[in-house]
Amino acid sequence: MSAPALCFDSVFLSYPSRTTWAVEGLCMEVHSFEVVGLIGPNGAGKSTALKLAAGLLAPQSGRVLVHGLDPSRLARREAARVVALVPAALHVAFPLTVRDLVATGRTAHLSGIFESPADRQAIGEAMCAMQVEDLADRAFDCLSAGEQKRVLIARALAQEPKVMLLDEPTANLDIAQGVTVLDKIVSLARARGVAVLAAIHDLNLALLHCDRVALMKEGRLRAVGPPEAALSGPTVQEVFGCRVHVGRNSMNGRMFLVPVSPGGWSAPTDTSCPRREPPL
Amino acid sequence: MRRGRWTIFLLAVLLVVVAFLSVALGSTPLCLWAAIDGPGVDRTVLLHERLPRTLTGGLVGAALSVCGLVFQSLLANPLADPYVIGVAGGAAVGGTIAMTFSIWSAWVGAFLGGLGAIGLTFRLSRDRAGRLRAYEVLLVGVVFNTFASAVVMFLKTVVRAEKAQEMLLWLMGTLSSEARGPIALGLLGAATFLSIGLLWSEAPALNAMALGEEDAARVGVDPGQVSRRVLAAGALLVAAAVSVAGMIGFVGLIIPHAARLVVGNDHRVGIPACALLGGAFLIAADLGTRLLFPVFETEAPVGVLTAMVGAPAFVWLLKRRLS
Repeated sequence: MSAPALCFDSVFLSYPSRTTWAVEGLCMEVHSFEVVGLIGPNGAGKSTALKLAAGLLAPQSGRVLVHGLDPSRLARREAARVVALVPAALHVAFPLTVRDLVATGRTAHLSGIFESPADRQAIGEAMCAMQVEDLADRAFDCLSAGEQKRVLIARALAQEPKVMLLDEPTANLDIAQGVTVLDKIVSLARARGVAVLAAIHDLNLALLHCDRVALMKEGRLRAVGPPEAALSGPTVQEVFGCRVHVGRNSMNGRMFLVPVSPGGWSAPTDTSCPRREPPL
Repeated sequence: MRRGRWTIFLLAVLLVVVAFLSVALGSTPLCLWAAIDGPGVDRTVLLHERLPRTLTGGLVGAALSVCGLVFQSLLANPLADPYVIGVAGGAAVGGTIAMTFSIWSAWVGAFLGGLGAIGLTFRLSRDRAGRLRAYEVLLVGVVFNTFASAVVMFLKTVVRAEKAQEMLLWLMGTLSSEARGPIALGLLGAATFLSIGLLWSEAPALNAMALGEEDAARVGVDPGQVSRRVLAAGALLVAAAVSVAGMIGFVGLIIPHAARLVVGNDHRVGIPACALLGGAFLIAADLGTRLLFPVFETEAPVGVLTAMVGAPAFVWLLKRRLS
């Protein structure tokens, strides 16, 4: 296999004023055309790993390489041309139009202060790919969560990165939006040869869309591999501390996971609110 | 962008019209033809009163408005204005000290005080790695301004009454001061054009910074570098404006918001729009104080007028935003 697009080589990082490692000895590779899901409980170090990959944090030991270069040592302008990070959400202080927001993705490509025809084309194509052209003149803060997510992904596409990092691309999305967004990301990876690393909370979406998944807990990588192998019942239970039922979808034979509460299912016994007859 | 160009053109026309009115109208009648025709009272009034005053108004208005716009974006905070980073406090202290001891002209003292305050604010707001933190700059600036206003109050109480009155008028902001000469005006012009040019060249970075430092870094902007450049250019603008015209309030808060409403949040259009609109607004406000002269038998400081117009206008904008 060719050289990896993104490579973590025994990476350690701790935040100041914390005694534990946020990321501890992380070794992992992501290749071009590949979609890798990063899975783990809150605080497992997923977002930290993404920031390391984007060069926004520098490892205290070990190396992060994006196409052979350390993104934290590159100038921000150089790094942003190679790797794009889509945040989980973006709060804007000023009412910015969708078009203006997507255009900020070209910041690292601009020569001078105005957009060249190539910049405008990249912006147009990115908005077209994420189907947000109709929203171009709308204010970003007035969009729904799903639309905002699509706009943020479009901005990352306008960066024309070789490695795309996504922090919870499906959080706050309804079931249809979640599937649509991940489908888009997978087809982009295939069409443009982008390497994708996405922190995903929804295990079933990860099972459906990822080529491989990496499970993290307390900063350490616990398992990595094809989704159905890595997300086995015992591993998920060990990582999340939650019992799960592993099933097969009779429609397509794909594996799915549903949580099982520790005490098993019991009928609600809430009697504080007596049931009232519906008004006539 | 096309709509932006038209807006810029219209704002430029507005500025020219307002500037012409400001030169033509005032408390003393002026015949422009006579002034152009040859030396005389009319020419003296034109060259030594109306023109410098109009120029100062345009430059100070542009400086404060652009500064307000870029500070708001840099700090990702719509409530920021040019005075937040401590320059105003420093300039006020410098100016009042100069007046108290009659050492320099007030504007020289104010300029030095403003630059000193920036130096101090920047020193105090570095983190352990030596990086300038925009948020800390804001906090240190606000605290410094409070400290400075205490110093100014103290100086006002210890000087003679007429000197205190002079200080009060200067602090309220006026364009009519006779004390500043062509040197001050030339320096103001140079500082304004240079700084606005520098800030305009940072427009794409400012577009990203308006989304927050963290997000700017994601799209390829070095927040520390942009903060340093923008704060330095902005500080020069404020120091120049305050030292020449005193503390003219609300221009730097209200004009950026008005410009954002008209041309959106793209700084490539927003910075020139702010400069033109701010210049026109302050010239018009100053013209207003002169035209109201016959009513009150005295000239109200232009800073009072801008604040009286600006405060309600800002509340209106805020309400509109919340509804």
